[in-house]
Amino acid sequence: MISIKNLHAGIEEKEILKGFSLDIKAGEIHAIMGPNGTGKSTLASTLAGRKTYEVTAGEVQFNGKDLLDMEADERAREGLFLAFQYPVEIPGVSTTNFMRAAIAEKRKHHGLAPMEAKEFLVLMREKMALVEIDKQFMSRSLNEGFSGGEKKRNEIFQMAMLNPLLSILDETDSGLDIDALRIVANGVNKLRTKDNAFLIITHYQRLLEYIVPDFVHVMYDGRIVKSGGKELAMELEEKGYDWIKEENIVQ
Amino acid sequence: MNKDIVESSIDNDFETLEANYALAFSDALMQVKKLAFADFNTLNYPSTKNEEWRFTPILAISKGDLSVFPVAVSANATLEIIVSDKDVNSNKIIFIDGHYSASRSNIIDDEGIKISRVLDYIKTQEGKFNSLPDNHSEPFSALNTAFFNDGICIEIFKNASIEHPIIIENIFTSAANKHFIQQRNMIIAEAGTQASIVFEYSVQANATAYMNILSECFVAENAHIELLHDIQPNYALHLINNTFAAQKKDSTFTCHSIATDGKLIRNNLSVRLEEKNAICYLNGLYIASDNHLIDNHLAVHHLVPNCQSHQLYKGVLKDKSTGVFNGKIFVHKDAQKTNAYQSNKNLVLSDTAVMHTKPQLEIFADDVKCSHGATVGQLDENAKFYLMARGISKENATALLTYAFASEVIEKISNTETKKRLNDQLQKKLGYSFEEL
Repeated sequence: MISIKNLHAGIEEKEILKGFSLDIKAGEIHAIMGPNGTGKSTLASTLAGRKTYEVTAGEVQFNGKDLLDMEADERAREGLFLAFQYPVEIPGVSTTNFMRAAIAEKRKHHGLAPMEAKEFLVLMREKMALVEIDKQFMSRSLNEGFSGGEKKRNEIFQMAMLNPLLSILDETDSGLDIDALRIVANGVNKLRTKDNAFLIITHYQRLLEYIVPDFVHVMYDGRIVKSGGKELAMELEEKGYDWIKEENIVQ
Repeated sequence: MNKDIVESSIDNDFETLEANYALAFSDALMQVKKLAFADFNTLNYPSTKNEEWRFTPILAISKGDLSVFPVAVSANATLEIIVSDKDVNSNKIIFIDGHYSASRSNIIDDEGIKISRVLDYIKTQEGKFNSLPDNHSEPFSALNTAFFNDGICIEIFKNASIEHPIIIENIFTSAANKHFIQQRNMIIAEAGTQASIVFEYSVQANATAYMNILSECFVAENAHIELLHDIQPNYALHLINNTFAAQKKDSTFTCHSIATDGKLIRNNLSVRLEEKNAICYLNGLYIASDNHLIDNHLAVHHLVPNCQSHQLYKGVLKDKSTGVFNGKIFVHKDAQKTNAYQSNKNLVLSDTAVMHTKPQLEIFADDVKCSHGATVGQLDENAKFYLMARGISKENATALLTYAFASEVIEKISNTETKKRLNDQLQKKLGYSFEEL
């Protein structure tokens, strides 16, 4: 589904991603773990198309297309979704109208007629139930005054509405209490199909108890330094990240 | 500006006025007009050297062959003018090129309200007319007082509540020489009344409009009056819009100044809080494109203790447009326990647009709460990226965020239908629309 080869990216003169490579196939869940400041969020933002980060080398194929050639909005319409670590508060735009606009543009992009209002409302109701969001949130300004947990649930709700091919969850677990974590994980598990894929970026192993990954990668200094199955996450939880750092310094 | 030419022509104009309207005006009114004309001759058309007009050159109005009289009612009267949504339930007052049109207006028989021509009102009662101090210090107020010969007076009688908005629509059809129309309106709300009044402007295709409109508004004890200046995109509209209000105790005065584009718009708004517990809400939205200019000058006078004023003005400047905001709050010596708030936020969406904003607080009392804030900026890149990351195009993300920014002002309008209409028009103006669910 996505093939990232030797990706180099950074901000101004500072290189943050230093030859990152990863292949994700449909139906897979990958987790990326690693200490702070190793470029995990830069990876998420770069893939989503944030202009702050400049790609200096490498290539990314997404569903057979050159991802780096597309603007952020086109990437989203092609099926890439980023659940933000810090969802933005947008006063004056309700979640409902925001989703209506997003779905309308995605359908137009794929040559589909606009969704009927009734169908849209049915879809909203279904996805709201999935992440246990109350109806009143939908008419309120997007993320404005939402708690940390509500914002993250809103991200998963949007993901469910847009039904992406590849979802990147950027530290979605940070700042979540155990109930919100369970709701978020439950949402992801229910949305998982053989045709879509997830890339879960996290600092802690905690989320991976609820969303069981097929592959775990350890990122350090801008690239993957170790890959394994779900047991790697357990190992990291036990030993911390220091041994990874030491191993890499030795190399 | 060639001062001599302007002056000589305006002298002639005043002689014409004296000759032609001697019968229409009472002696007392003629005396007021003479004094106002003398004031205007001293003040003259302001140049940009005048602090209050520093950023607003009015050459587009004052330059060239200018007449302060409306074009004669002639062929225009036979033109097919479409008066929009003639709602049988609401009072609608129509002016065509500055002339009141009785046939196109809809005046409802209601004992709670009287709508009359302003000259008829002045003939019978002269007390309130021209009684607000602002009328004498501003050049365009003086000009208006000197030359107006039409306008409307709305009297709302004690404890009457007028359900539907009262609409005053100015329609411009003339493409002839510059006729700088001077219109004078009076709104007299007696104690315990409630009403909302909407000013609308429409410039027909190929016409150009020049207007200096002055509305005096008297809000008595416990009266609640809402004004809406609804200026929809009119690229040939040059408007000096003067609104002066005086409030008595426990009254509310709300004024929404919405201008979603016009060639040259200057709103002069002044409110006097004359008795305790009076509250005013002054909201404004301006959207300018091309090389247009929208200027809002406000003055709130806190004259007595325990009054509140709330100002929220938001602007969107595109292309080579200019926005001006000047908000004065005067808290007089006796006006303890005043609450005065002012906020002016601006989005400047191009490198060539300019915004001048100037809060001006003069506080002579020591126990007051006053706050003010002004911002000039661009759309938040994080917000734009967030929208784009959901598949919304850059253009639509910009339009949606601009709409969200601007609609906060529209949301303050109390009438649901008016609010919806203005929101729809705003979306259209910003090139984006979505069906509300």
